[in-house]
Amino acid sequence: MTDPDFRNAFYTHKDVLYRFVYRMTGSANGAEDIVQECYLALWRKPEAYDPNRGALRAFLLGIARKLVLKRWRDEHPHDSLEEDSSICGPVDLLGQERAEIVTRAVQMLPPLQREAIILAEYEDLTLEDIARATESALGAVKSRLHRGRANLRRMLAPLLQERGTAYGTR
Amino acid sequence: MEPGNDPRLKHLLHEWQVPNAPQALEQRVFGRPRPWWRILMSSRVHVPLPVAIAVSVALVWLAVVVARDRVPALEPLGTTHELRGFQPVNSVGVRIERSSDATR
Repeated sequence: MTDPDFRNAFYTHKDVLYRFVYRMTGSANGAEDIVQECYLALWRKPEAYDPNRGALRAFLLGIARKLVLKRWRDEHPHDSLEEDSSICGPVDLLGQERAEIVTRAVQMLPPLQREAIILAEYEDLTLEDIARATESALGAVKSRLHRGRANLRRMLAPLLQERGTAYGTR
Repeated sequence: MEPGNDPRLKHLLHEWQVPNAPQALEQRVFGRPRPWWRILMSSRVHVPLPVAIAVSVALVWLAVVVARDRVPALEPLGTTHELRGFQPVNSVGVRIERSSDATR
């Protein structure tokens, strides 16, 4: 990979990577560290990226995801990533801003559901791209998205049921 | 739109906005590497609890041993005599001298 190629990769994908890691970790400093590590990995070992296997964005998101999950496992050694049976109840709305409530709700999702929701809802990746980035089967991604959305609907039910809110007008 | 998507939920989720990558990231990727002391200050080491306890106990034990060795040995009270080479005499001839006061 030449220097201009590397710079192009950085400027094209840095924001997607940063937003993804920020939403996964809830930390600006952590996001900077992890995104820097992603580009360092690309610079050191560019041959690891095979254009025939998918877009560079999915490849870089895959590296970022591995670093995020590694950090999560270090911090939560006894928790499961998947938690199929995880059913989240409504969040406490008292004294909180709507954005704060949504932030809390997304961050309460189990990590694999959270990453699928972030990539689909915020970064508009297709199911195929999410599967590539997360090195998962298409069916697994669909299932995580389904469970994640169901959990979010439950957690955010009070906000979704609010009357007079102009949803869908944005 | 992917199957199962919900526009109301999507709209609500977008109330959570996060910033794009800061300028500092560009400097970190293309600029000079972070100084060693910043890396050191922000590094973390995860140690299993049994190992942490064992290391703590070992450090306390080491501190006790070192402190004990530094206490100076107490000087013995009085003088000591070297008995090496001491030979008892073969015969003891005791001469009793009486003082003039004793005859009174």
